[in-house]
Amino acid sequence: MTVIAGYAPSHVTRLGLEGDSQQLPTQDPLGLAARTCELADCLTELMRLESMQRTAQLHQSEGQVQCQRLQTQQALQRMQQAMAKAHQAAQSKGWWSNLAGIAGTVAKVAAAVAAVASIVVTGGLSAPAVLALAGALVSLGGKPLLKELGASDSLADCATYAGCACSLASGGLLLAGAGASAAATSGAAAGAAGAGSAGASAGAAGVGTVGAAAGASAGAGAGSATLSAAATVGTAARLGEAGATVTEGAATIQQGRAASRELGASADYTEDKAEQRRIQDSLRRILSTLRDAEGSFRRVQEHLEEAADTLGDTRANCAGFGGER
Amino acid sequence: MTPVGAPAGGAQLAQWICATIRESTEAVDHQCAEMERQASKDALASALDEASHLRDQADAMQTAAWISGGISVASGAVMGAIAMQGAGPNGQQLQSDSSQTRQFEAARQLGATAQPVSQLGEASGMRSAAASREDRALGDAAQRESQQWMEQRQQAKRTQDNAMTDLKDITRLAHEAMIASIGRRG
Repeated sequence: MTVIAGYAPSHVTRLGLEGDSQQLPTQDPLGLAARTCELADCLTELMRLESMQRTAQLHQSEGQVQCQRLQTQQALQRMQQAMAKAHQAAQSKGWWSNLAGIAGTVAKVAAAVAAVASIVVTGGLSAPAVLALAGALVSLGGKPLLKELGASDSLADCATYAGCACSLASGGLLLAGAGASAAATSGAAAGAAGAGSAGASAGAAGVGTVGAAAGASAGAGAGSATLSAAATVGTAARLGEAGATVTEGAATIQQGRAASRELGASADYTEDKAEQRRIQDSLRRILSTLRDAEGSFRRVQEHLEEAADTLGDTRANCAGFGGER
Repeated sequence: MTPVGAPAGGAQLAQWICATIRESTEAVDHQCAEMERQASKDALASALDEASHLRDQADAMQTAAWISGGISVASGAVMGAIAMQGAGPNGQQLQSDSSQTRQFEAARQLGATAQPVSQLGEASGMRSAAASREDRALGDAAQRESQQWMEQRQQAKRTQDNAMTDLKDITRLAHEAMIASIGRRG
């Protein structure tokens, strides 16, 4: 008996493939029995072809699914790597951001200290020094203080802008003063040469007592020590400010690089995700095609079974006609 | 009234109707599949554009960081050199009208320009980020569209299956009727 994949032996039997020659009616003037045998052969051949096609399609789809599975695994692996890279970059960015913030705060504090030292050294409140101090203090503490007091964000931002404006004004005054003092220096030097000697001798003649000279000497010594300490602190503050500014700049660069790496990893993740989605779509199409093919095969199978039934009925009818004749 | 090109017999007419439904659903299925593929392509293109814009944003941020950080480093280095140059116990360099103070202040103002430069770079990065988000939204929409087309395709397939089942029933009934007719004649 012929065995056909996907078909029960009863179908084959129903088609009359077994012992057809013995079952054929002996009296068949129209040759209907022979024609039904040919039809049965055709149906069997159709079943065989359908079965072969189905098997080939299953093999092909299996290969495609395996390939897509591998690609999906690779895409998932790449996505995991991208996520790990992004996480690492985000941690690095946070660290550098903190460092940049600390260095910025240190620079502002150092600027304020330098401004105070400058005021002490100059022995008064010169406009640029006061503006520089105000700018440093407002930049440093204005925003947090206003936020603490419940002010709005825009008002707190205004404090930062005011601090920047004070610092800019201080710098502007200093730079503007540079031109003016350069012009005045040449004229003042000529006058001071003549008037200086006469004034000095007259003053020296008036101040003659020993006690007064000792007191003046002690006062001058204390003033000189304060001046020297303020100068040292001011210089150290300026150096500290410079170092903090360099650190802040370097940290900003590193922070930017880390942020760039994080975004690059996010871009990789997005691309891999798109690739995975494409593979999923492809897999879905393969499965859909397979499902359609399976449905189509089932339909063909049912049709062929019905055709076999019909053929059986026809054979029975033929046999009936033959018997009656 | 029989449609143009339609057979006259009852069973044949039913077969013709089912075959016509089948043809039309096949056409719909084909069109849906094409639209689904197109939507999937659009979704993929949008995702790639999104990734490209993210890379642009990364480049913009890195460039801004290099420029603003470089300005800060240069400013700090100049400030440090000036502070070292005029260091001394007499405090001359801290006098507001001294040349060191002016130079120091100029270097400080140079450093202050780093912040606006950085913000310019960040603004450029934000533009890229906005474009990236837009692409993501477009990609999601295309993905949804693709799914809708897929659902319509499945519905067309179901309709086609129903038509095929009806066609099969009609054929079977016609055949049974014919057999019965032959039996009656016999």
